Amino acid sequence: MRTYILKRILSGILLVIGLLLFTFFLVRLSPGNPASIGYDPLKSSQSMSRLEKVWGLDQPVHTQFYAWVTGILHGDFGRSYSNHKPVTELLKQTIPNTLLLTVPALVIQVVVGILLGLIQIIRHNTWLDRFISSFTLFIYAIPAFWLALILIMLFSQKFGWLPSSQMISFSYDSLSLWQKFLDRCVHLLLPVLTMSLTSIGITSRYIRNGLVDIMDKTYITAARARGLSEKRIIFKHALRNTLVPVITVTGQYFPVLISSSVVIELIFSWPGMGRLVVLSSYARDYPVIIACTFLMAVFVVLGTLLADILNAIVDPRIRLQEKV
Amino acid sequence: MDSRDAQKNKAELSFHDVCINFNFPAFLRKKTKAVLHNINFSIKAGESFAFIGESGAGKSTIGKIILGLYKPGAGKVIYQGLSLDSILTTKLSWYRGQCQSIFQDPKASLSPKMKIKELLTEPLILMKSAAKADYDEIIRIQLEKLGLKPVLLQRYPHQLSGGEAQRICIVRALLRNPKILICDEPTSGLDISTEFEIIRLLKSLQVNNRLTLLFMTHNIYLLPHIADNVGIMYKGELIETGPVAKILNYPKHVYTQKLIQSSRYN
Repeated sequence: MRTYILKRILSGILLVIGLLLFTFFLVRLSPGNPASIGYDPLKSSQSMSRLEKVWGLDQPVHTQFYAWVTGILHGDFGRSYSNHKPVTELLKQTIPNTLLLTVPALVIQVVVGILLGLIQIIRHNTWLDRFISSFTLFIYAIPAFWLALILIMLFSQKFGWLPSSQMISFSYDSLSLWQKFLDRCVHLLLPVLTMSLTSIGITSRYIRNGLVDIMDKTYITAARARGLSEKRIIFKHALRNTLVPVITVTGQYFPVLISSSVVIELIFSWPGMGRLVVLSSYARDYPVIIACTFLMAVFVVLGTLLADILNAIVDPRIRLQEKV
Repeated sequence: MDSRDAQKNKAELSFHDVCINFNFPAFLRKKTKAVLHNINFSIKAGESFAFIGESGAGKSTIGKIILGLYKPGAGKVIYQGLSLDSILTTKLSWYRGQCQSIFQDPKASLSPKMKIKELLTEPLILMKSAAKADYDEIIRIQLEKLGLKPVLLQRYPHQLSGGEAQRICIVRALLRNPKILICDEPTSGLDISTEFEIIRLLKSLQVNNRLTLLFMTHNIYLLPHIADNVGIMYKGELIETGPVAKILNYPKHVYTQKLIQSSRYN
């Protein structure tokens, strides 16, 4: 198990190094000069050159890369060109907000997805099974931004039940602790619902199809023949064996949720990392774009690593591979 | 009631004109295939009966009907004088204990993510007759009877050899003290020495525990070692039944003759 985890961590580190190179050079290849943003043509061109010098853009690319990597190793992602603040500070402000969206969305996706998949297998080949399949597929096919707009139109504009944007109300400071908690929850509802609804279909389909496949296996027939109850067969024997693909997909889907938060955060004016990436792209704010892209890539690696470790815990065949 | 019916009534288990059809999805319609056609046989308590035939002949389907996993489309199955239909609706849990099975691929019939101990505890939980504290002792005794070491209890199915896995399946079946043991090609995935070890083991269990043994196989050379009587299956029909020695020496049906002939070349 230890060797397995170490191998996974090592391959994760190699992947991150590759991503460092890729992210940095890809952004540098993009057209345009960050120093030209906000450049006033009436002023001398010296001011642009001065900015390039301050930001180190006049240096050869490999020197810039070396300086950037050295900075990262010291926990410094540089300074934002547009906000004039350290990137680390911006990330500290925005990452928790993004996680506040994505983690509950992921939890809802997994829990509801598993429940729906189980209902489908218990009611296999009935109208309920077909209805859940069609409904989750329909929701999955809807673009997240469109679903967000529909939800805002319904629950904010038409019924006025939920806020359409921001993390907190204007009167947040004057609220009691409990009211503050409720206020945050109310603001979370629509964006989290948008993110989780579009992805519930993936988990439920994996669970359903995995269980359909497993229910035909010999050990399930053997369990039925031994007289085990259908409940015990599904929960003790079948579900346990369906979890591996679900964990893998969930691990890979976490970074996807973080990436998709770009759109959701923009629509709901959520001050998260996704919104920061979009605003920084408009400003050609290289340090912020690279840092965010790099962090998203790290999330992919961490998601996959976590899924691999969880799979090893759930599946003894993976865990004991080294010993056999 | 003729003499054949009278004989069947004394039997532990009997089939009376059992038929079963399966539906297969075909292009824009469903295709129906007759898998078993008018199956009649009876087995006495403690007898070892083998079904022999090629793949797809319907041997496993007979086993699954006895286990209550398939419902016959027509005909009757009688167990200890009671209709299987009524047993499955009124005495299901009792019947599940009476009738146990082992399958072709032993590792595939053990849930891959459960330790052997957990797998062997399940039948005891189902029986509810033993105290929880006695589970370990009961399992250990049964393992020793079948020549298995208790160290296997901490292993997962993929860590066992084919022979060990099949013995574990047998232990699991025996823990419920069954009257009938259905062995659906239990040795086909094993090497020849392990195959005969398992056959010897099953035969001794049949004699010592007075088990009724139903043995499905396509290997005719196993018959003298395991079965008292044999039924020859061909395309869903039971074409010939009788004592093993009689069928092997004086086969009546052309298919049986060819089957015996072909086994001589193997």
